[in-house]
Amino acid sequence: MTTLTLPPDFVHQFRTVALARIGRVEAAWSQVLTSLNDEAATLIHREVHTLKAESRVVGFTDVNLVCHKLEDLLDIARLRGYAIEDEFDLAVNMALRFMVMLINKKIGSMAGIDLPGFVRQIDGILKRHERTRSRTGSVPPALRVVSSPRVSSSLRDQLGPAAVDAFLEYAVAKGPRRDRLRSSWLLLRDLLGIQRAVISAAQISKYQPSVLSLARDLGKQVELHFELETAEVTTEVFMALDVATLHLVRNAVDHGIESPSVRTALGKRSIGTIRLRGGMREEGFVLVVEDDGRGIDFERVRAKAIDLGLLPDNASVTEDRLVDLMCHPGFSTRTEANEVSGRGVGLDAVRGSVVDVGGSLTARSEHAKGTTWTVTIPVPPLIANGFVIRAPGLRFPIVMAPGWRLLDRPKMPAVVDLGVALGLAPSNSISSTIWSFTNDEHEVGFLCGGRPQQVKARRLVPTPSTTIAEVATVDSVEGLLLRPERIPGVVP
Amino acid sequence: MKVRLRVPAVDDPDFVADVAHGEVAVLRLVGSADNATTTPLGTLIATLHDELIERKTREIVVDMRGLDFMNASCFKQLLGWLGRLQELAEAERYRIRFRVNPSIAWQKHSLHSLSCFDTDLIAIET
Repeated sequence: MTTLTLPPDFVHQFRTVALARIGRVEAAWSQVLTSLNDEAATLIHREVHTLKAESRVVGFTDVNLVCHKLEDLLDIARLRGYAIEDEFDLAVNMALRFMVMLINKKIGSMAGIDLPGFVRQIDGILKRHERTRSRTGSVPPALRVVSSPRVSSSLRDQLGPAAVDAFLEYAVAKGPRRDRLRSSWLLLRDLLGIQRAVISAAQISKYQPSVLSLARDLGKQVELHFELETAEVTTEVFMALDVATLHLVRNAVDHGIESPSVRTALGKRSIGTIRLRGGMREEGFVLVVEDDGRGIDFERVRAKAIDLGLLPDNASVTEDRLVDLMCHPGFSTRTEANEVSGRGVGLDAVRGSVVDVGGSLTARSEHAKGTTWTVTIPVPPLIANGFVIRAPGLRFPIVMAPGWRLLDRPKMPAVVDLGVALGLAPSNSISSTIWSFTNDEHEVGFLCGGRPQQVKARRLVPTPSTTIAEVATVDSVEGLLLRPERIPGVVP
Repeated sequence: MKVRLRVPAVDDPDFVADVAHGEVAVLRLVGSADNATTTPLGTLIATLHDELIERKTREIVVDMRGLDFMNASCFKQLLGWLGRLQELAEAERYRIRFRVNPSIAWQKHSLHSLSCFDTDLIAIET
């Protein structure tokens, strides 16, 4: 395999993510052995497969090799319904710990580590259990999608208002009490806050060296084009797009692009093309991965699905349904797994990670022309445009939610004391002006110090739209994004 | 110089772990180590590790010849031990020499796998 030189940040990021993956696999492995948990089983196979791909990208070939062996062990364990001997359990645990050691070691330093010896030991275990291995056996039990955000959306909805309260208490507190409340607020902010990431062509092109290296290893020639627009997304969306990119591009190289001789014989350029494009659209972030390879052999997919018992004989199915089956855990048209594919985990990992964040995966393919995969992931609004006001007695900015505009000629709106509306002390200001806002249905006036200005507020800790406010930042200053319609009395 | 270590023994009906004092310290594991043994074994290893560092010991022998069975969770205590050892500065590290029974297959396989983690720190002898 080609040795890759990658930026230190990239390697550092790999280490952090890889160790987190292994931590999740170790926890899930214990769960699987004690209570045959389908979700945990899915997670294990996905995480290990993704780790294998990522380790190859960053040139951790030793981790890649152990991952490959670990996948062999896991395949056997899965086929046995996870009813395995202690020796087997230990081998899986040791492989995971071995990878932790390899990930933590200094690059290029293998002092004392006997990788070939360790691999031989795993091979020995695999050989002793060879009888139970089969690539054409039944697919594993239907595996549900695993949801793995930091905090579930329902818990986030429940805790969001508590975070607003914590922020308000902190924001109006003074002295040592303020310091103490700040700690509570920051804890909730870190737990529930939106974590942002920027996805861009430059960021995704980190895969280029490893993809070209993979193509060389497979005797293929590939050109990659990255035409992604830069966009800010949540880290959950970013991670899903990252996993999708990794597996879809590798699949395109391995399954889609033909060898140069075949391409020439077909009248194509000897160099295959893989194009990644997309950006933020109305429906969310759209990522398109297209290749000009052989296309999906739907007849073969159909035959394999029947062979695996996923379709009845002579079933008539749409191409969409066949694509759906291709993403089924354990589905692969390959009869043998190699270091790149054949375990039927890659597309399952793509779909799983995309569906986990509310997205979808579709494919269109034409024989000998190529395949286009489309990933669509809804991205929650991260910016809110609105008018910012300074309310008397409150030391933080308050931004009106989108949809509320400033009225130059107000009628006789109800005037709201924001201190009272937010459950704080009433304001005693006599030097403020009343400014009125409307959402075209209702009108409300607020006491403000100075004319309201239009700003872009960055949502920080989202809350359900049924609550009065959420915490956002304006020019990096923490404040509130206010939903006036939720203030008691504003809507009769 | 004889080594004397203050390490509490594990004395279970099915499993014994104790530290014998001689020219080198010897951790003797006998019987069958299962889930009931995991925690006390972990405690013993943690205490032993601290003692070995404090006394600047260069080597310890783990005599497993009388150990019929060790389940994965107990074996993970050995893995954890090695992990802690690898985290030490080079000058503080000590070697672990495992004395195994070649007629017990699991010992041979598992200990050889363990030695692959760090051949400088782990040695296997029959």
